[in-house]
Amino acid sequence: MQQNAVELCTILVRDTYGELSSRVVAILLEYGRSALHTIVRRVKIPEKIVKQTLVVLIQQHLVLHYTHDDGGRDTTYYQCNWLQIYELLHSGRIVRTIEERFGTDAASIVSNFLLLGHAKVSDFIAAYGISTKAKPNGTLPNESTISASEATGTAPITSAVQISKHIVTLMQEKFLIPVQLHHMHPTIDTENAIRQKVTNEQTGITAAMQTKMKKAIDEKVAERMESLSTELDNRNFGLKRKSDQQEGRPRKRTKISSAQGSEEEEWEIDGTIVLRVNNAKFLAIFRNEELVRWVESRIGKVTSIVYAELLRHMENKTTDHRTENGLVEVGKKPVVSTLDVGNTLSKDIDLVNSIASGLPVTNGGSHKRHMVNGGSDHFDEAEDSEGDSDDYDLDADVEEADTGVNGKHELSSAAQEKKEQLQNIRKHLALLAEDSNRFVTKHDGSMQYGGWTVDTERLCKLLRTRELEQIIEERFGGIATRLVRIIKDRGKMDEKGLADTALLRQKDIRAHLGALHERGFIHIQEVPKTAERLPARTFYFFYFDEKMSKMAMLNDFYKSMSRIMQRIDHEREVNTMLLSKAERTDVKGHEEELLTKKELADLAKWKRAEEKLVGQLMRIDRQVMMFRDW
Amino acid sequence: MAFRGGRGGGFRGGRGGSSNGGPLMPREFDVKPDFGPTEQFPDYTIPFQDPLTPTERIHIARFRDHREKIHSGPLYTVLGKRKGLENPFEDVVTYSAKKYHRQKRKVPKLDSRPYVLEFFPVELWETMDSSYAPGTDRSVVINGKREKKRLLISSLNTALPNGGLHNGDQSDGSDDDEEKEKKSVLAKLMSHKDEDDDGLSDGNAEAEEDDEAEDEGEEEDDYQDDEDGDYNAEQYFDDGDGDVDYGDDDGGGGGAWYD
Amino acid sequence: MSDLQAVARTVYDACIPNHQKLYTSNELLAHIPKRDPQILLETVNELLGRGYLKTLKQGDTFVYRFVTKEAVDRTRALTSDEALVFQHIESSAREGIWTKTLKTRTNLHPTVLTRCLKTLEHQRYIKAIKSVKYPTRKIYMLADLTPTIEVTGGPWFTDAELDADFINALLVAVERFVASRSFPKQKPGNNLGTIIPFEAGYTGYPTLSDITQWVKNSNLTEVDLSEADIKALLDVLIFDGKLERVIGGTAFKAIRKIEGAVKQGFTEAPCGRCPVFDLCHEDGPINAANCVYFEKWLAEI
Repeated sequence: MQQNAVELCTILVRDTYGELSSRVVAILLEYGRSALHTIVRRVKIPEKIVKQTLVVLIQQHLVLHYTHDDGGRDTTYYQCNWLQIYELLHSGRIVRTIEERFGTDAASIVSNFLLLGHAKVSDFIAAYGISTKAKPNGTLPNESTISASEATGTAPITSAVQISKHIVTLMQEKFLIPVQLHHMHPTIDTENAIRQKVTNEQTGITAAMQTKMKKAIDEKVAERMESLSTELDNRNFGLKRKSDQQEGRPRKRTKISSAQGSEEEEWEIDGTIVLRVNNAKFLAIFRNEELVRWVESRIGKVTSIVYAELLRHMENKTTDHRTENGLVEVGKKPVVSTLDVGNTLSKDIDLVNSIASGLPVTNGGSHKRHMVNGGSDHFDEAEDSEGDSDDYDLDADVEEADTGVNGKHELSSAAQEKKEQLQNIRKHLALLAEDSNRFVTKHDGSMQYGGWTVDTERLCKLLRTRELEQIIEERFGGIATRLVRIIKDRGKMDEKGLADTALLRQKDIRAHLGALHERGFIHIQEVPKTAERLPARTFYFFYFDEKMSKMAMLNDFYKSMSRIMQRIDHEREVNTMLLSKAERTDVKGHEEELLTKKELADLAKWKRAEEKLVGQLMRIDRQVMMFRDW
Repeated sequence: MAFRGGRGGGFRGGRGGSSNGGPLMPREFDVKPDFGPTEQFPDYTIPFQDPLTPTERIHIARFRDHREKIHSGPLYTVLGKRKGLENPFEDVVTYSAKKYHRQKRKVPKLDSRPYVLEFFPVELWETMDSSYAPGTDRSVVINGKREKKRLLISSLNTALPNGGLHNGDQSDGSDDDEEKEKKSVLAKLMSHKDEDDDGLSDGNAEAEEDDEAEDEGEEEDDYQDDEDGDYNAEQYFDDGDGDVDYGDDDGGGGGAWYD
Repeated sequence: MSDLQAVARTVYDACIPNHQKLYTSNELLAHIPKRDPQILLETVNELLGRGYLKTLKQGDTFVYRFVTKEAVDRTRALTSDEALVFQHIESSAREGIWTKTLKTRTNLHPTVLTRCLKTLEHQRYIKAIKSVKYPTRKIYMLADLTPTIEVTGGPWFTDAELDADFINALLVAVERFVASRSFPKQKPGNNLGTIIPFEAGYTGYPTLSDITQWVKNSNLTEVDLSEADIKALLDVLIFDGKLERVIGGTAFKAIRKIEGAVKQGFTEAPCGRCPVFDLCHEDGPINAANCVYFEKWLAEI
C-alpha cells in the first residue's frame, strides 16, 4: 500500500466517521495488523474507547479481525481493509445508481445498508417499524432520520412486502450480498485456516511427504477458497421459495402464485441472513458506464445506448469479485444475444438515422452514398443496402430468422417491426465489433441474430492507456504524448530513432524526454559501448513500463485527493462560525429569514466551493478506479 | 526560468555536436543551482475545472447527504479542542447554542442497535452490548419495558441540486409540488410513523440521554494519564465544552431531540 | 571553340544542348561520319584533352558527359591548386566532400586550401552544404548539383534542419483530408448536427495510395513525396491519436473528437500541474490550507 494511500484513507475516515476512528485507522495502516493492547499503546486513547471505535470500524467493514490461538491464549488481531475505506467515496454514486434503476425506495434501502455496514434482514425490516395506522399526509421532517425503537404494531403487509420485494431484487442482482464470517477476516487468515484444516485431514503423513503433497494441498485450498465465493454467486442464495419452506435451489420452476396469479416465481428472504452492500458490483457498473462513455465519444450516442443495454445484460450474467489487483470476473464469459438487447431496448431510440450506409466511393460508384432508410415502406431498399455492405457474415442469421416464419410478406406488422429493430441493433453491434478497440466480440455460437461477448479486461487496459496518454498530454503537451506512444509501440529507442520517427528535431524532444523521465513516465537504460562506461560512449535507450507508470500515477492521484479533502477542511474551518449557525436546528430551513445577506452569500459560496472540490475528488476517483480496480 | 529544487528544468540544451546522437543523460540532468530568493508558490497557469455535469452534481449531492447522515448518526465522533486552543469569541457557549446546536459526540454510541455478535471478536462483545451474556435474550430494558433493539433507519433525500445557485438545503425539495409527488412510499410511511411516535420517542430519548451521561462520567475515571505523548487523551475527552452532548440524538436532527 | 577540329565541334554542338545526359560510346558514334570508331577515338581524345568532355563510369562501362563552354572557360581560369581542389569536389558529386578529407587528398596547406575554397565559392563554382548526418562538418559540392537524400535528410529537411513548419502544415492537411473521408457528409437538415458513423464493413476509408495521390494533386507542396514519406506522416498522426488504421491496417480513419467528452480529474485539479507538488505536505510550509493555487482555482466559480 502506498504512503499517499495511507494518508488519503486516514483523511477519509476522519471525514466520515470522525477523529477517533481515523486515529485508530491511522495506527493500523501505519503498523499493519495489531492486537488490541498494541493499538491502545500506540494510539494513546483509553482501551474502552479503542474498543468502541473498533466496533464501529468492524461494523462498517473498514477493519477486519482474526483470532489466533496463541498457545492456549486467544489473541485477536485487527487489520485495516483499506480498499473498503476508499469505498466511502462511492456512497453518493452507489445510492444514485440504485435510485436511477429501482427508484427511491430501493435507494433508501441501499443507503441504509451503507449506513449500517451490515444488518440482519429481520432486524432491518423490523427497523422500518411501519405503523398500520393510516395517517393523513404528514409532512416529512427536514432531517428525516428517525428512530424505530418504539414502534410495536405489526408492519402493514403492503409496505413490509414492499421492502422485502426490493431486498429480494437487490439480492438477486447482487447489489446486496449475504455476509459470512469469513468476510470479516483477512483473506490470508481464511486461507491459512483452510490450509491448516486440509493439511490436518491428511493424517499420518510425515513432514517429508507433506512437501510432496504441497501441490495437492495448494489445489485443494484454492478450490475451497473459491467455493467460499461461488456459493454466493448463486442468484437466489439466501432466498427461499415462498410457501415452499426449504432453502432456495438454483433449479427454476414456474409456478402460479396464489396471491397474485402471476407466473413469476416468488421468493422470500431468509430473515436470519445478514446483508451488506456489494461494492464490487458497483465498481463493475461504474466501469461499464465508463466504457459506454467511451463508445459515445468514439462512435456515437445511439451506439453507446445499445452498448449500455448489452452491458446491462452482461452485468446480470456475471459476477465480479474484488481483489487487490482489481475486479476479477468469475466463471465463463457470458454471451448476450442481439435478441436480449432487443427485448429491453427502448423503442424510442432512433437506431436507423444514427448510422450512414456508406457505399464506398471506390466501389464502382453505381450506388450513391445514402442514408439507410429502415422505415417499413422502404424495407426492400434497406435489405438491399445491407446485403451490399454488410459483408460481416451476419446475413446467415437473418436468413435463419426469415425461414422461421412463412416468408416475410406474411409477417405481421409487429413482427416486421421487431425484425427491423433487431437488424438495426445488430448494425450497431457490428460497428462496435469492428471498431479497433473491439468493444464487443461476435460469439461463434449459432444464436439468432448473433451473440456477443465483451472482453472488459482488455478494454480497461486500453482505457487506462488512453487515460494515461491524456494525462501526459495535459501535463506535458502533444509532443510528449507522441514520444510516449512511439516508445510504447516500438519498444526501447534512442533519442535519434525517436526523433526520426516523430519527425522532430533531436534538440526539440530532449526537454520533453527529460520531463517525462523526471516524473517517472519513461525510464532510461544505459548500454555502454566500451568497457569504460564513459557517458559519451554510452547508448541511452528510453523505455516505457506500464506498471511503474500506473503506480506513479496512482500515488499522485492519492496525494491530490488528500489535498482536496484537506482543502475542504480548511474551507470549512474558515467558515466554522457561519456553518455552526447554519446547522442550528432553529436556523435550518429558515436560512432566508435568520441569516444576514452576507451570511447567506458566504454560505452559498462555501457550498459552491465544497461542491467544486468534491466534484474534482470524484473525477480523480474515476481515474483511481480505472488504474486500480478495473 | 529559474530552476527550483530540481524541478521544472528538464534538459538544458545538449552538447550541440554530439555525434552519436546519445543524449548524455547524466550531464543533461544537471540543474543549475538557483541561489536567488525562491518563491514559495511560483507562478503557474492554474487549470480550470470543466463545469460539473448535472449527473456529477447529483452524485455530489448524494455523497454530501450520505456523509451528513453519518455525521448526525451515532458513530461520528468529534474530539474537543485542546485547552487553550479554544477561540474565546467563537466558542462562547450561549443558551441558544446549547439548545440548538448540533450535538457533538466524543465517543461512538453503540448500544442503540442490534449486532451480529458472531461477526465480532469476543473481546469486543461486552463493549457492544453491556447486557450481553451468552445464552440470554439480547434486549435492553428501557423505562422498565423490555424491548428489542432496532436499527436506525433514515429516509433518502432525493432532491436534485438546483440549477445555477447551489441553494444548499436539499430537503427544501418538499416545497415543490412535483417533488412531493415523488416522495417515496417509504418516506411517507416513515413520516407517519415519526408523528405517531413523537410523544413516546421524546420520553425515551431523554431517558436514554440521562443514562448515557452517567455512563460517560464513569468512563472518565478510566482514562490513563499520559502526559508524555503528543496527544493528551484526558484533555481531549475532558468534558468542558458545552455543546458536546453524549446523549442519544436518535440519528440527529429529527424531531426526537428538540421540541 | 576555335580550338576544336570540325568533327569534334559537330559532335560537341550536337550534344551540348543536352549536357546533363550521359552518353555511351555508341550514342556518340551516331554523330561520327561513317561511324568510324577510329575517328570517334580521336574526337573523344581531343574533347577530353580540351576539357569539353568527361568520362564517368557507370557500372562496367564508360559513359561521357559534355561540359559547357562556360564551365570549360571557368576551369581554365583556375590556378593549378584551385583546379586540383575543384576536381576533387567535382568527383565527390552529390555526396559532397568534407574539408578535412579534401585536405588529406590534395595535400595542400590549410591556408592554401581555404583560399582556394573561398575563390571557388566566390565564383559560384562550388557551394557549402549541410549534411544531416554530420551537421558540424563543412562539406562542399559543385554549385549546380543537388545533394543526395542522405545528405539532405529527405523531404522533411531544409538546409539539413528538420522543417517543423512544413511538416506540421502537412500533418494538419493530411489529417483533415482523412477526416473528411471518415464520416458521412452531413445531410442538410439532419437532426442535431452530430457526426454519425459509417456502418460496419464500410470500405471507403482512404488508403495510403489514396492519400499520397491526394497530396500529389493538391498544391500543398512542390516537394515530391513518396508513399514512404506519407506513411511517415500517417504514423505520426497515429501516434498523436488523431488517426487509426482500419480494414486490416490498409486504410486510415480519423478518430472522432468530442470536446469535453472526458472530464479530466487529476490534471484539472490544482495539484495536477503544481510546480511544488513534491514539496507539498500536510504539516509542511506548503500545504493544502495555505495553497495559493487552490485559492485561485476556487475563486473561479
